Amino acid sequence: MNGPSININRRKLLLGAGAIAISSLVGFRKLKEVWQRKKYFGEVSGANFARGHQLRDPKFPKPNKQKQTKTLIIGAGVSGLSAAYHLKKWGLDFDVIELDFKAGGNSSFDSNSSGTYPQGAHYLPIPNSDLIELKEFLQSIGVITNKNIERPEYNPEYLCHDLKDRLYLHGKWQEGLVPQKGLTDKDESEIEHFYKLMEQFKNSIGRDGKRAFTIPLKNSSDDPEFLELDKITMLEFMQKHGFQSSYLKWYVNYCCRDDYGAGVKEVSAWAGIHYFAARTEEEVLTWPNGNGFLLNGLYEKVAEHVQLNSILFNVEKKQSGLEASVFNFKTNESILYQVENIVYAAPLFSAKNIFKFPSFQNYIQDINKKYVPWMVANIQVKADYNWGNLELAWDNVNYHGTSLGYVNSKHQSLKQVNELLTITQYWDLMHEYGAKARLKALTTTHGEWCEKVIRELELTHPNISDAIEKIDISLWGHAMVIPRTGFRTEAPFEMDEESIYFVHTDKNCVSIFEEAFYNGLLASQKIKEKSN
Amino acid sequence: MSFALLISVAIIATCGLVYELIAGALASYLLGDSVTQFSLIIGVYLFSMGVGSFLSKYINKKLLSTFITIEFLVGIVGGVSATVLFIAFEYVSYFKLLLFLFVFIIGTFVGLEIPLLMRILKDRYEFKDLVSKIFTVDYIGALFASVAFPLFLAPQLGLMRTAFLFGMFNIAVGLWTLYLFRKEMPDYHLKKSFGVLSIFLLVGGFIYSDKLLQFAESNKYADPIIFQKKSPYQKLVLTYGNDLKLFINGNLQFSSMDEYRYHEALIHPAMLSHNNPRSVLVLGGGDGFAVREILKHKSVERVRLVDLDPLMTKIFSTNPRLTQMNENSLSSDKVEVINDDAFVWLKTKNKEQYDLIIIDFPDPSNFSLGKLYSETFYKLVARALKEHGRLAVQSTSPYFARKSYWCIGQTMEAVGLKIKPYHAYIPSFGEWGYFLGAKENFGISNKLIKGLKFINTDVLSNMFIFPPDMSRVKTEVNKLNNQILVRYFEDEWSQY
Repeated sequence: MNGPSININRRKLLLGAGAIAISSLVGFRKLKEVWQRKKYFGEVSGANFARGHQLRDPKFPKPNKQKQTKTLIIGAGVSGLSAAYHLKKWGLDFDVIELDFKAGGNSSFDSNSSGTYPQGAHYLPIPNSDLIELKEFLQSIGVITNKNIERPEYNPEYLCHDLKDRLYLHGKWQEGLVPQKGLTDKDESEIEHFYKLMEQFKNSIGRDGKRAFTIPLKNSSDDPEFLELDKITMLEFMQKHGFQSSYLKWYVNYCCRDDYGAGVKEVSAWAGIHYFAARTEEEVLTWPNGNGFLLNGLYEKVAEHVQLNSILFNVEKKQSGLEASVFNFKTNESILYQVENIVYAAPLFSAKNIFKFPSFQNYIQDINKKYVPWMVANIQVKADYNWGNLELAWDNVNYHGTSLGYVNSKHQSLKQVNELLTITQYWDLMHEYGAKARLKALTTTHGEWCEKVIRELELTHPNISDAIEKIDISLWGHAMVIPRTGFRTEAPFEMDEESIYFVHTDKNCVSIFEEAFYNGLLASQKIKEKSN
Repeated sequence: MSFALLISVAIIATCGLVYELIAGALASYLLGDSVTQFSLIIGVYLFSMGVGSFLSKYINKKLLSTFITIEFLVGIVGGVSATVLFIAFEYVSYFKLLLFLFVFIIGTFVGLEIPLLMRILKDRYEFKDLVSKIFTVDYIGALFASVAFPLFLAPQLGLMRTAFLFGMFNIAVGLWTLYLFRKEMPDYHLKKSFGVLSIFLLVGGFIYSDKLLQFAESNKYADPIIFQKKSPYQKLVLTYGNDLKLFINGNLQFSSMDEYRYHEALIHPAMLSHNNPRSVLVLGGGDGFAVREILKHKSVERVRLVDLDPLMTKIFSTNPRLTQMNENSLSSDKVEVINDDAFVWLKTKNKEQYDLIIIDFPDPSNFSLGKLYSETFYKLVARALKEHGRLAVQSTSPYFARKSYWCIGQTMEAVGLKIKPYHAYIPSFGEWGYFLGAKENFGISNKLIKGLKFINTDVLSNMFIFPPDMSRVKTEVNKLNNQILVRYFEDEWSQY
């Protein structure tokens, strides 16, 4: 008769003890995390907003020196250096000024004890065959190895090696980013249909004889049939075509976020389709330091003309030409440049206080609302870490993640074993924070970023924190301008007759290497024609 | 009621909870999803205790003796539980079944304990007092366990040792009870011996638990391990039974029984295809066997061996059993050993050209190794080869991995090399394949050196004949950006 009563008590006891055990284990682990979570080494860097913000209320000294040059290029990112590279090639006179202590812009890179890594853009798709000047540049830096660029042979060390990408879906890594596991027949047929549709767009020629979608953007057809697509969002386009598969939607949304910093709800259908239909080649080129490799190729040729730590704070039109006031943060002096042309290759918003005419102010006001901030985290990891059921790929994406995934900077290494490697995790901050993203980005501490980065990694690699040695954060407050509906049909701001050329990709709303390269090239071509 | 009795109740309670926690922690550690694992373990454990309590009413005779037996059994089963489950996880497919079987058995025994104990003691103490005190210490024991387990036991001792330790406690309680009631025990000595023996078993487990975990791994190898060490690059294991075997990352590299077949076939055809080989470059082959065969040729003046792993070349130039096998080849005056990555070394450090290049890399079983069989790599190899130089490449099995084998040849041809495929039978590996390569058309003389155990003129000519089931198949060229060879290889070996 003692049995039952005893058992009830024992059961209660053990149930209670079990609950305590769970909560104490969980709680203990949490506590341990707080106590023992290492303080990761590293720093926050990126766009130098402290310097840039001084333009809001400029207190720079009056110029006490004068300098003359034909063309002054503002900004040593890809578009500015491309302009400089081509002016140099044609023997024309120019100077480049850069706000930061190093060249790079969105193609910046850095290094740690594992080697170099990208802080921004990290690959270039093989150019379409008609991009002659780009191919010539690639040839000059050894990316194309043969003479005949009609049939270019790419250096196999730079072509992205296999395994290119993998996706973490339903608790496992799969090869490729298009979801494969758990799809219904309907999902699969929708994905197939979507690709067929994109293939059609790839082969479409407008009535003006131009390809419907191509690179650079401005070479695309102006046929209204295709420009119609700029009036709706990518989401509306997908709905119109009856695409309902959540896997397909995820994939298309991911691609838009990856290239434009915003998803299908935000971007123009024209831009969304451009991602899939503008390129005729499949392979991509990549380097340990990302597009820093390409940037260096441009920079090395013009380095002697580049003034770092310098900011343009005033431009005045004189009869003789333009007078540009430039402050140097290192010497604390201002220089007055007397120039014929200005190539403005810094992000457009930064020109707000420099060019005061109304049409430009209206344009800036409009574009300012479309900027998206990005955060790029570089995480140094011990290489003997076990990366999951599939080998570490170049691009590694979690279907259920918040970030855009991470890229392995050691992917192109020819070595069998790397003792350390750095993975680069990309965050399009609008996706999570919406309109408050920039404020959020500027007020988050290094420790908070680390916490976020690790939490995201732990979704796919539960025990990775022990293998992490260092986390560096790069912040890009005005990383790119979203190609919203109408971006293609509303003409970008041009002021060329005034001898001021805007070449930053902000004006194209598509932040890719090719656009920047051709923006710079085009401005330099116009300057060359003028000087002849 | 005696203080000692209360202590033993507390110990029983602590043990019971510890086994539950061990099973839960072990399940979440091995299977993931800790909330699910803990819930299931607790549920099954409590249910089993219910079963135990229910069963207690069928025990009507020899209550004391049964109680002691149960203490011993709980101690043994609970004590070995973590170790058995850890080892079983590597080997059995029905691991979860085994896990819950353990939980059920332990739970049932623990469920029997308190009802039996109360019935034993009910006539010796006042019932009110008995219930009150037993439950008080029961709770205290449980609290002790749930605090000690995550804070001290699991982090300091580990799950296996914790289990052994508490198994000993259970048996100790059994032995102590046995001692107290020794006059009422007809089989006192038998029981005592059994209990003491069990404690020794568990003490042994506690001390050697690290070794036991190693055993879990070493069971993968058929023969006893005589050497194992992990370098930053790979894990080397040497076993010795009837023969000596080397495993790298668990894959058989050679057996002393027939390695001469593999290495004679790798070296001598290439030697015979060159009329006066003087300088030789060996890539991989840190075991020194290829070099042993090379040094049999008197024309050779210099051998340079590039192997990634210093540990590998070190043990093969110092361990007496191994240097006896490779005839101390790595210590020869003619031989220079370089520890470097072959790809990077060829690309950035090598300044010379060689009469003969021997490539003896592991099979292309992952993307890193696949790079060593790529077009880009063979371009570098061709650059390091003299105009009349010759090349021999170990190329996996043309029988088991036919496409992989021919893909290697196809890739060598893609960089402009002339190739000659050949093969040999190695009992440990099966039918194995190689390629000879050169920058010009070439033939093979049959002037074999003396003293070979495998190759004679007939064997040599047969090596170049391929039966239809291994004959050439069309493949793609292996490039860094398609790694097609790794894909063929994975696909083909997955069928065996």
